Amino acid sequence: VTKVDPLNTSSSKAEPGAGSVLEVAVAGHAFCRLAVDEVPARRRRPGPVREGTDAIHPSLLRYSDEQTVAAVCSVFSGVKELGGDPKRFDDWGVVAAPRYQGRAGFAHNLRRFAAEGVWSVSPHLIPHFALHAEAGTISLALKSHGPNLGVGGGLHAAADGFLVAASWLASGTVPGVWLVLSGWAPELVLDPDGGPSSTAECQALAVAVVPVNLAPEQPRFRVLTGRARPQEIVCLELESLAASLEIPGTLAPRILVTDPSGSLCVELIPTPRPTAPSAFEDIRAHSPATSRTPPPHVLRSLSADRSKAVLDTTGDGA
Amino acid sequence: MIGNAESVWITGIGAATPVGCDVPSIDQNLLAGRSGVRAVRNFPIVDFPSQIAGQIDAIPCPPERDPAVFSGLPRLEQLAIWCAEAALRDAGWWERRQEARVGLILGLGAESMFLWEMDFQRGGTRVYDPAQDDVSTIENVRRDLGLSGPLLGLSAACASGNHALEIGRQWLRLGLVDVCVAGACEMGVTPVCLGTFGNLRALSRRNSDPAAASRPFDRGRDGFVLGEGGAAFVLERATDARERSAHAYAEISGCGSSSDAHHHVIPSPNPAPAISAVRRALADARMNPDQIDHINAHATSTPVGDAAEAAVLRVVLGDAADRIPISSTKSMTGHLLTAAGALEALACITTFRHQAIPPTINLDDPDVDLCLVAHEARPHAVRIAVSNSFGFGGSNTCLVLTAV
Repeated sequence: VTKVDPLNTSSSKAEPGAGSVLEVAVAGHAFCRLAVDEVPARRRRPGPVREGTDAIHPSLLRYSDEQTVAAVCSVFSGVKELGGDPKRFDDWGVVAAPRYQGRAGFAHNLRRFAAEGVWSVSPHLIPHFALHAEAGTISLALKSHGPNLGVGGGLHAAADGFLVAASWLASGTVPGVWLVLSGWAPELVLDPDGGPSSTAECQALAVAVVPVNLAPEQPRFRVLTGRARPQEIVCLELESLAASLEIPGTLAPRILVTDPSGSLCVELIPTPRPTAPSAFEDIRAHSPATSRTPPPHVLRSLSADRSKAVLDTTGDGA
Repeated sequence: MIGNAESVWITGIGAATPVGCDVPSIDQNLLAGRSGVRAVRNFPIVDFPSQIAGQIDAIPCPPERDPAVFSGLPRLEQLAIWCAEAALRDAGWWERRQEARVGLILGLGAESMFLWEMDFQRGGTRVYDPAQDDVSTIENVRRDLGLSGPLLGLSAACASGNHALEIGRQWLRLGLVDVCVAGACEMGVTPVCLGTFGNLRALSRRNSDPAAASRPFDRGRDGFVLGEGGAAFVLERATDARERSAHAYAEISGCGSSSDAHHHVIPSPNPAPAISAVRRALADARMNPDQIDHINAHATSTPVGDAAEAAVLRVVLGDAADRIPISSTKSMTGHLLTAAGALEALACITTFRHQAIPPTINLDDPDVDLCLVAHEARPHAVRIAVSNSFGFGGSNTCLVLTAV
């Protein structure tokens, strides 16, 4: 992690407008998009794991929110991109930033509670729909023992995710972080019966972030805090964020997200400065920036017949 | 550049809990062994498996505010504002908060669920319509308090409070903020939340005797008792706090965290991940187990969880487990879920301030071999205290606090 302090903010007497910068490298990434009718199959088999490694238990995602299913799919694809061995990430942290997770399942439970009383409330609401659930489930799926943390939960969750991942790496808490951003596109709006009122896809972007010195030729995220940046609110959709990581090198940083207060801004630096050879060779070899093959980690298998899509809103994984 | 060894102090505290809404009252009630658990009365409860909880009647309105306006805010927002503002006032930063980059980090584990449920009960449609959720609770709190630093809402379930304090310390050391308000808040005593935990069979059903229901480490336990409340702390770099002659409650000396990777809800039968979290915290604090004066256990009053933590402590502490006084203040407060770690950090500071350890009440028949403080507070010299917090999703965290 490179920490630069262009405005001399190390002093406690810094002006309120001062800012600080953290930089981390993107070792790899994977983007998953699931149509509603694809979710049940992915619950049972969320993704590829290298032969010889432990498969996940078939019931792991049985009660999970759709965003968690997409998140685990994206991480498994990311693991495959980075060599396929989840054990390699045993001590990595997991930071998951879902956006309005659990809305459909919770709405269903509210209606059931109103109609049938307390006995109808699913016991799975907190374990599977609360903010910690996505990060905890990813940690379970990877069988990793680094810390796991859910952040944000709302419209600007992505900014929170970048900030925590960079803070953990800059502080040496973990050697790497699976940063997973998830949400619905378009945002999931429910009709009064709790069903989706429009066609929506569940999406997740998994980004493997490491200290810059471990992947010096990779794209970087730069997290800026303070009032040094323009205060316009930027919140790219997950698909656009994923696409940004596929853009060939350019020297111009691109603002990806800001928080609503304007006190935090995340930029992508597609082409890093020339540096010494990477010590992270296998990751670099599979990175999107050096790959010339079509990105296999982009899962796109949209349903041909969306009218058959049924969203599981029971909270029981039905 | 700010080095990673820079000490970070707690210089202000704000809290609202089932045993009090100011620090002196909380100290007094914890040391007196008073339970804040009672029958739930604010919604119909007759069919609920568990009908008791640690509750807050009314969240106090901070000074110089219109009580009618304040009481119109969502209760979770009221709680967060009360805790954060009280902490800033206590630290002497309230009037000067716009002179510094003040960050805000709060554990808010089920914010959306709480807001959706409250709105649904009033006939609203918020749960169906994301357009009504465009501003988060923590952003509302930041705006209300007029803070200019970065903000973060987080959750590691019941381990959230320790993560908030650790990240606050990181932000100060990295120079991202000058001052950071860190803590956690939970308003979990709602019909759906009490129902879902009840149906998970996690809650005590000792409805006829609420004060005796939360029984950590006691053979007669039958589950945890839900609680609500929160605590927030003002964190500052020690050099800055010294420079302004601030009163310091404690130093955040060490933090450690890990994941079980075992089960969504059940603690791992393999104690190694939780052991590693405690050892990392001690290593971070550059301390060995012999130096610990007190441990506030996570111990929620569930058979599996209490036994798992006891096994962890036995391994980490070795022979020191026979002499280090251990207590679970959840016996009095109930389990504040997301906010548990924050309240228990406050309970550790209580031991510094009073040189006495709050008791584990209801501990009539211990079933673990630890040095437990039962029934009554124990006078004890405490300079270093450890607080464990473990959560759903397999999160393990440990915090080491040192008296300043």
